Amino acid sequence: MCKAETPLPPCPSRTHGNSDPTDSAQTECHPACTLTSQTVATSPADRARTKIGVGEEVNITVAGNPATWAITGGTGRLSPNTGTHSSVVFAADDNAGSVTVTATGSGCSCVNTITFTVVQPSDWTMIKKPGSGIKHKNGRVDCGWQGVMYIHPNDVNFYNIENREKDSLSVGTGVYNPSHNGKPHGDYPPPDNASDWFAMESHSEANGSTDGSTDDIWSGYPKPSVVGTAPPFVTGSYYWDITMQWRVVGKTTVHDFPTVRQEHEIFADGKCVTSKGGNSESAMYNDPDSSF
Amino acid sequence: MTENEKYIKEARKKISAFEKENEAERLREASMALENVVLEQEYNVKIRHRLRRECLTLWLDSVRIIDHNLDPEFKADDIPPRLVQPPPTSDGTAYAPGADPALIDEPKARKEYEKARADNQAKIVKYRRQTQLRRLNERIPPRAEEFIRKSFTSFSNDQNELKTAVDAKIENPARKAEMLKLLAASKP
Repeated sequence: MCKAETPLPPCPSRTHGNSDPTDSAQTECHPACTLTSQTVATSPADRARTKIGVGEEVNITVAGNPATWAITGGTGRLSPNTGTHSSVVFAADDNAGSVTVTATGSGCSCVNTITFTVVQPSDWTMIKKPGSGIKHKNGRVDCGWQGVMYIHPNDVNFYNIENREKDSLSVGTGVYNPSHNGKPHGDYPPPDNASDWFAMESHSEANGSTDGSTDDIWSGYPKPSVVGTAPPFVTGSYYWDITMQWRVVGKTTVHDFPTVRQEHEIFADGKCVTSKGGNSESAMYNDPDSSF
Repeated sequence: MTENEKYIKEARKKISAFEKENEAERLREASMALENVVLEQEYNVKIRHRLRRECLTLWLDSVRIIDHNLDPEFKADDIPPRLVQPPPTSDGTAYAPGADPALIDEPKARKEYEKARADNQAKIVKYRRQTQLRRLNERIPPRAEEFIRKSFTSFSNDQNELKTAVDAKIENPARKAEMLKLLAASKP
């Protein structure tokens, strides 16, 4: 939507604020001031996308004369945000919504806009770490797996957010009560009672954005004299409703993800099931010893 | 105070804040403030040269700080786990990773577990910081070099000023060599 007026006004002999201090030549006036954008993140592969994650950065370039730039709808940050430039970097903040960036071509009355759709993280899931095994001790009703958390949606890159876990207390029933009931998941220190922040490490279109950190999701076990050593075992389960949080790097506002349950269950036949974030793994009490 | 002076002051403040807070984000904010300086707005040559010198100092300070804080031994694929596995208790109960150390009744085992937790926490903090610094290392030095290319000519007084500043500020030999290459690359 380039609005080049006709006839075009004469260009100034020097573009005020142009970053080239020695440029004293006449600047040609280009009627076209098309904007193109390229995400800083190389994944997803479509770097011309205008749907971006909170905190994502995008290089915006204007064809023709350098321009003055402004955010004319929504919020975010332009860098540089003074002077005239052929390209700037737009960085989304932590607000979802549409953001319009307007470039006004120097001396040409050529105005063009580009609009981005900024999305916040919606949820997270776990996948079992590729190549890892199941943790289990032969003769015990226990099981565990190593998970890696992925943040969605997958069609944007959340490399510029951080995440942490807010502590929660377990709810145990049956054989897990009282031993595993009312216990903190991370025993994180006050005042936030939350883990340290984890920086994001990578992104894939198949799985989403991840910090790459492994989460050892293991049941533990009640003392053998309570749960038994052969079927029928005393049954029970316990879980934590886990609240993960995110923030854009450099921002102070902390946002909660929807709660995700981590659950461990013992069945009478000696089966153990451990679940978190959409993935479940199991072991039988008489399976051989194995580890992550 | 002019707009340019305001941005330079802000950059200086952010760099100081980094030294105090050890928070990498402050360096990024400093670089953004420096990018907002428009030397061409200063028509007084003396003032423009002073602002240029101040900008150069702050860009080089930022690069030096990154070099000083980047850990050359850092392994990006050695990501710390979220939680640490506690030892079992003396009655045979085992708790999931992250359990309260107070649940571990055997003092020696509890102490080892507490140390493992503290070590892992320190590793998480360090990993985050190094990750942020690596990202800044991709952002700030190229922008510092762009500033130099655009703001300094091949005239001897410019070249001397640049060389003196790089020699004084940049300690990392590889970085210094990269920066000094800019001397020849500066525009005529």
